[in-house]
Amino acid sequence: MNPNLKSFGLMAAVLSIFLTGCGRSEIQVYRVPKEIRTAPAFPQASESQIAWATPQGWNEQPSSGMRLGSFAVPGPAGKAGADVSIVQLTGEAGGTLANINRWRSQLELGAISETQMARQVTQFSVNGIQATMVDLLSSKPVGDPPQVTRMLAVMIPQDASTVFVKMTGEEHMVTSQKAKFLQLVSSIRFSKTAPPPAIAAQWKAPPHWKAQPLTAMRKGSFLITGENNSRAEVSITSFGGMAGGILANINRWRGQIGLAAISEPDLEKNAETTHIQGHHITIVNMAGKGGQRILGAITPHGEETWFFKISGDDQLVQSQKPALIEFLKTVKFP
Amino acid sequence: MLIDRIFKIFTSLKLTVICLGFGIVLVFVGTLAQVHMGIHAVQEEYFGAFLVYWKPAGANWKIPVLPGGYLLGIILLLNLLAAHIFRFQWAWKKSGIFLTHLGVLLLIVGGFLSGLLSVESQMPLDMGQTKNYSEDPLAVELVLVDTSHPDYDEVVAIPQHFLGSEKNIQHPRLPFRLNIEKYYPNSKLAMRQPGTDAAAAATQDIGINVQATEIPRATQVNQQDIVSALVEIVTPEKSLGTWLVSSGLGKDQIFSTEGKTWHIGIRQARYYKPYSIQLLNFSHDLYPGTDIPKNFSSRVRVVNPSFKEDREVLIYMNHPLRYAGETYYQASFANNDKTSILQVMRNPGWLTPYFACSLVGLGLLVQFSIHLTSFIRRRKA
Repeated sequence: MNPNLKSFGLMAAVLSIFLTGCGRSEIQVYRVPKEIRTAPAFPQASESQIAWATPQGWNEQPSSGMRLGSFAVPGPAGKAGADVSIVQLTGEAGGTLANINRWRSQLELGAISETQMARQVTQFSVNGIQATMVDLLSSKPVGDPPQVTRMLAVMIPQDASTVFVKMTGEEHMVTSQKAKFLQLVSSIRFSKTAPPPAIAAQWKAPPHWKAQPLTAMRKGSFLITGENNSRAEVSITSFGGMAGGILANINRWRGQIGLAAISEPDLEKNAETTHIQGHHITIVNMAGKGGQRILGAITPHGEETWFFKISGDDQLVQSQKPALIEFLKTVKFP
Repeated sequence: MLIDRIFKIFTSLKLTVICLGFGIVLVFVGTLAQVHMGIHAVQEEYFGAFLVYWKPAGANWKIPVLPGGYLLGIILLLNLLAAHIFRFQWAWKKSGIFLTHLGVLLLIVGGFLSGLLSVESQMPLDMGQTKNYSEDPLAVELVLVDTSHPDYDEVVAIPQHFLGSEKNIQHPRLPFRLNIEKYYPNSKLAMRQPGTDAAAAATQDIGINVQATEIPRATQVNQQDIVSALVEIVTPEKSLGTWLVSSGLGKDQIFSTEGKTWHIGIRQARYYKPYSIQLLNFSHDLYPGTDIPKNFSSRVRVVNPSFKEDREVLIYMNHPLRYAGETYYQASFANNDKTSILQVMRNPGWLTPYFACSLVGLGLLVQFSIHLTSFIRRRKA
């Protein structure tokens, strides 16, 4: 072969080996010194510090993951023990009913309604804070190993978070430890740490809007009650950018009350725009199916879009429009 | 002979012109594409690729429409090499051209080296904080950390591309298999709204209460993807459940199997170092009476036990710290001036452009000098 060809071929081969050798990264295994794992930014709240007294005979485990506290309750010889956890989550962490239904599903029990829940929970005071307790028993052996399982769970609202204390284990084991579990719950103390600097929006709500606990998504939450037990809920949220656009959000709200989506040309007919305190605000007032109504206001501010939504019984929501306009005048964005 | 014809094509100047023409088109199209795709995606799909593909919206097929930066670079490199091997004859009077071409070759090879071997990462440090790793702001990794040993944690770090390409991940150090049920290159996380959201796909831990929704990849330089995945963990005996892991959760989740405790999570990909850096102080000076920044600087402490080294260094604009093959630049700050963000650059080929440009300059100087002397000689004669 021509020696020039040979050397060219050799260079091309070296180049291709070099390029194929620089492939994508592979799975790596390495050891690192034990690290202190920081508190999460997203779902867990820790505005207050929490302390408790461990009941006698229970083995406190190192806190880990979501757990602020963890206890192993030893069972009688040869029998499985029970597990106790203390967890703190932002807001209501989905709400009391959602949490109870989640625990019920863990015990392979069907979901219950708000009315059924009211009959199944007990409320009592933990150092001046109203706590809610639920006592669940599986109808058949569940889990691993399969056993008839009992779960005691207490929810204690604390600032903008909820503390969950839960004991799970074999039915008789949990029953025998219930007194100690309640002793643990009543020993819980909160000590406040300095709150982070406020970067929240400020507003002045009408007196008949009753403030509700905030959730991870809600910047503001209020309950309005009217005649004949009618109810409406006010939620204030904000999302980055256009949050999908005004039309998409109005259609999302329409979907929530059983209305069909509208297109861009229909938007003008269904929404009004106004200027309040220099903010361009889009207001919609939509009567839905089943006597439901949504009154909403959307306004972009800085890099975020803010949503003010009043949803609930038709007449009550309809009557809140002047209150909403007055409320919007008081809003000072961060 | 066919092979000779192929080599003849490689030696032709026409090929050089065609490649340079495609290069101009690539730079133009790639610059426009940055508006929608963002600089990083364009770098990956236009300049750091062999072919540039076009994919109609919503289609699951794509066709190549342009040669990518890598392909053009390789062809130009082979073109230059082939021209030297087959066409050019060595002569002293052409030594300047040879030097210039050597410089160009080095520049192309250096570009490849930088593209393939350089690693760019960041080290955000809070005041007083010490770190022995930097983080990739663009790539994440799925980590499984065995925390059972009292003295150390054993980390199995799975690069992001496995999440998109593999359905099942197995590794000898993992006593279980990972089944990637869903991968979200970018996602939005929200607390699950009971009644309105679909049932949770995750069956364990925080995923039961948190909903991930896929959103388009971030295109702005100051935005970051929130990478999420639904991962089922399956031991040889049974499935342990499905976890929602996400770089937006900010915390690992925990499970136990075979007597060992494991942490699972997605985090920015980490590059560990055999030394540590502590932020002692961060200064953000303004011109008096204005909000105009005058200077950002970080005083750091570098501790390297293997060299018994413990010293303080001031990093400020245009004065990076070059240490152990890496360069630490003062890049940004956050958290009301309490966090300093250092850009960490590892580029083994960082000197090649300097050598290459010097060679090109020297070559041109030699070639012009040769011409000048022969011109003067001819005039004298």
